[in-house]
Parts: sequence; structure tokens; C-alpha cells
Amino acid sequence: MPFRFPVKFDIPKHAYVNARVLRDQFKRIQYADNEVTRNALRYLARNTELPAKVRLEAQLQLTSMPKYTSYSQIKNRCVATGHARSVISDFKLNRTAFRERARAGLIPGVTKASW
Amino acid sequence: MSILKKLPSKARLEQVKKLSSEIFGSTWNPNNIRNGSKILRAPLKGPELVNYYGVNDSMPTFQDFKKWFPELKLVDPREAYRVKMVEDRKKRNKGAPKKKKE
Repeated sequence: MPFRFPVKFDIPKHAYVNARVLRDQFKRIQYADNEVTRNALRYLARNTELPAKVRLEAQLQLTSMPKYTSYSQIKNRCVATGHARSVISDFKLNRTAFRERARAGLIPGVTKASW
Repeated sequence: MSILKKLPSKARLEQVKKLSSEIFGSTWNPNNIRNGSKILRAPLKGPELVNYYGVNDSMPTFQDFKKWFPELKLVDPREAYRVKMVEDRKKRNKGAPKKKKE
């Protein structure tokens, strides 16, 4: 079966994996690879002391980069279920996955509040 | 009482600030012009983002152990259960459809 992403990368071993998690991981790797280029272009485009032509050119180059190299494309997903909604970022878990684990006592330091 | 007879002029104070920023390596930007230096100053986010779904080399998986010690004939009970369920479904003609042949 062909690899369905423009660039080959390692599939995460220690998290729940589905197509959407894979897509997110791909974007993360691409963002990390292109971060320096993007920042350089961003700096040129945002620097008001540079001539307008340079800034416009930098902005055009930035927009011509693939969308998957953009930071805003990255979404934190649940590590246990792959869900994208209601992910508690401290635990990288979706609310249901978090609740199950917390009730089972699998998350250190987390207990059900009772007073 | 004080050593200073009067406060130094505004231009003089600006000069001091400029010199101090040169010495301590901070950017001198008195008019708060947007020069994009905050983009260059910020630390890179990439290395942390890549590790969100865990680092593959952090610990071996069951699959790794199976590959390293084939003579032990390790069986993952969860995987065995899944395969058994698939077989059972196939017996009842409830399995996944056949792939299309070209």
C-alpha cells in the first residue's frame, strides 16, 4: 500500500493511532521542519522598517508554502482515543478517557473531589 | 544635599538607555516600532510539538519484544482476541468485504 503522505515519517507507537492522528502527526513534523523558514519569512513580513516590496514578497512566499507547514493546522488530540474535542491539555486526554482513568486511579495525584 | 544639581536632560537620559541596551544586548526601540524582533526572540515550538504523541524510542512495545525474541513465541492477548473475533465474524458471513480486484 502506498504511503499516503507527501513525506515519509515514523508512525507514533505509544499513542492511539487513527487516520486523523496520523494526519496531525504529519503536520506537526512538517511544522517543525519548516519552522525556521517560516519564522524568517514571518520576520521579514512583519518588520515595518523594511521596504514594502520586501514585506509583500515575504508574505507571498509564506502563503505559497504548503498549508500543512502552518502552526494553525495543528490540533491537540487525545492520546488514548484520538478525539479532538474536549481534550484536557494537562493530561493530553479527552474528557471521557480522563474520567475513566481518574476513576480507576491510573492518573497520579488525581482524585474525585469530596467534602 | 544631593550630588546632582539638576536632573539630566531628556536626550541625555535617552543616550544612557541606548548605551545600556547596547551593553546588555537588548534591542533599542524607543518608538515601539513593529520590527518583528519578537518572532526571532521566541523559542522554537517544533521540537516540543513533534513529541506530543510520545517518543517512539522512549520504550519498546510488545511488537518489538516479539521481533527481538521470536523463539519465545509471545502472544499479545488483546491482539489474539481481536483476530479471534474477526474469524468468528467471518464464519457468520459478517466479515469485511473483499477488496476490489483491478
